[in-house]
Amino acid sequence: MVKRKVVVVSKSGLHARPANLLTKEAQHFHSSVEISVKGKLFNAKSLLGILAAGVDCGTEIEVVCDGTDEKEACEAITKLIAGGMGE
Amino acid sequence: MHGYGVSKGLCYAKVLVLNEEAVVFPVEIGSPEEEEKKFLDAQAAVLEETIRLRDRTNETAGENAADILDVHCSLLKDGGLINPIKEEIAKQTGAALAVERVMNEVIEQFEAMENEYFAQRALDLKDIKDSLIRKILDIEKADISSLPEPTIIAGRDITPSTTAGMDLKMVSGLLMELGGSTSHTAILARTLDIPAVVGVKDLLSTVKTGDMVGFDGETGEIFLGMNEEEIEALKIKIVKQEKERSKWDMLSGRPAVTDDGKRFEIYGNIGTPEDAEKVLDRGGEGIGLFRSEFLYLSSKSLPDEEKQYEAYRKVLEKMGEKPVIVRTLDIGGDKDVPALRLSKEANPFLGLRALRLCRQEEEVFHTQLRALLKASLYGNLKIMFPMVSSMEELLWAKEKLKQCQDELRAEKIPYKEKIEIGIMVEIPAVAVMAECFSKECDFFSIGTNDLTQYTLAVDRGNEKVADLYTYYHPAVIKLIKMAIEGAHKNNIMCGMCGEAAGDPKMIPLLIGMGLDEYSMAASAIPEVKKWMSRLNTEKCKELAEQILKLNKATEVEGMLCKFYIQNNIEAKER
Repeated sequence: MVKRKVVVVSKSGLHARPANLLTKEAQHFHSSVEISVKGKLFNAKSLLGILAAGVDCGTEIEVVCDGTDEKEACEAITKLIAGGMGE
Repeated sequence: MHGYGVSKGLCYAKVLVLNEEAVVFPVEIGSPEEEEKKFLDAQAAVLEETIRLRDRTNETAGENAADILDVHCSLLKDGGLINPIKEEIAKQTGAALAVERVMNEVIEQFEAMENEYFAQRALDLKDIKDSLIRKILDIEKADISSLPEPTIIAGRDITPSTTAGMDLKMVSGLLMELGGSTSHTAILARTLDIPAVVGVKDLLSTVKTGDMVGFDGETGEIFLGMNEEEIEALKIKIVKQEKERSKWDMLSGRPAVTDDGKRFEIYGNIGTPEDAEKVLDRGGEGIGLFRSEFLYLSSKSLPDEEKQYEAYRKVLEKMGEKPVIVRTLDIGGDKDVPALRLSKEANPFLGLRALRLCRQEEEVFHTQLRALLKASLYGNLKIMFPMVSSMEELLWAKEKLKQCQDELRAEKIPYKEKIEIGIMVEIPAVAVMAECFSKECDFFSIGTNDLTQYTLAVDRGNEKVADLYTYYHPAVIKLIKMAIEGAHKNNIMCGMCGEAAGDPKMIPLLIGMGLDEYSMAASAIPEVKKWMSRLNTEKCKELAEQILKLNKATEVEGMLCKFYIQNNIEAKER
């Protein structure tokens, strides 16, 4: 299992477009991809899961990946979030 | 068969009937395996349709518009949704009912979050749920967002939110079973220049999807069972009508000046920023009524400041120096806004509507005023308040505007200091008290549709009393006169943005009574301009004097009709 912390910088947090982008990216990997928000885990491969997490801009979250390509997955997801996802 | 012709023009096209049947969940269901297959097939089919729609939207309307459909695609594939539905089906629940139950749960959760974004997603989920259930139960749903050919849309009622989703390029006409001449569908049809007939009795039991039907949006006549000759004759007339329209277009560049050299302002009424172009094309010299409701009706949640600002700015920039009168939110009555969750009232037209609603939902009004002020820098903005019935309301609205100005100043956000403020004169009380109100604002705009409805106590949307609804009624005309005179006593401008302002028969009377500005559907502008150029203001004043002596609406209409015909013939003979 790989974990890494990242601050959400996209203006609309993990709602709207960013949430959709994040789900799509997470689905590229075999590993499970979850985000930990205030101690709770949410499935990042599900748009409903990410939406339910209700992450606003400026929140620090932890990306948790587990599986054969966990390193790549964690790297790609944190990079995407830290990059602001076009916002 | 006939109804009330509410938007001029002939048309002949294939009919599409809007289906509004309620869903009935079947009692008999298959084995869990069979039901799961039903669900997965439906899911795949809906997904495929959505992907197709997304790609087409991307091409025609751009990436932003397609984004929302992309979210639909994601939700349709979402394990967080698919798996619980499968689990529900495994518990011996029918596929359709399983979708209903599981998705309702998620929708409720989203709705509970009281956040614009989640409210929107809840409505997305409702759309998806609806499509899935219809697919599973094999209920056909008329798709009006993309029409393959010119189509006449028919329905018992065609709501403003339905029309917002229509593929307007392909809509050649609207037919409605309910509704009177100023129902909002009628107004929309005129704004978009689409022929329409409303209040057609037995429409849906006679006309079916796929029928070829012709109708006349002026007389309200619907042509059924035409033979080939009749169809040919109608088609020729339609071509002629299009030629005539392009002739009007050539005239549109000139100002509206009467024969004796008096100039009047001819403006257009618009419902969306895109309509502004049409007004300019037809020679409109400003926007006399920008109905801001479209922002609230077409979006499924309340529009935020930014979104409103963009819309207002777009119109202001498009119109340049020309005035743009934006009417603040006018909902309630027959216009529902899903996002506001208004409760049903026994008398919606006398209830919580327009400015009254804004007084209750101050936040909504506040957002709109701020957006308007911010956009004011980009053109010649005027703000108009609807449904004012008392001085207190006007003063309250002005105070709110001032508060917003103070706020923006404190936040160092620029706005234009001098913005003209006006009111709609649509409640008889205001026409009677016009002189008092004109001290407190910069202009009036008479809304004849509501003024008629409130003066005569006739529901303008009710086809059963449609024959009583007429702005030719002497009482309505006297109130119009009072409003104009009240405005002029304090030297403010008086305009009109109701249907009467675009009615060639009414124009001479309105000129005779001294109306300054005429705002109408873009399609009416060229004809009105041409007609005005034939009029003499002195003659119009004489006509007005005679009209004001009459007792009956039919007499008024008769005299106006005679005047119209005589002067048109004289002009042609010259």
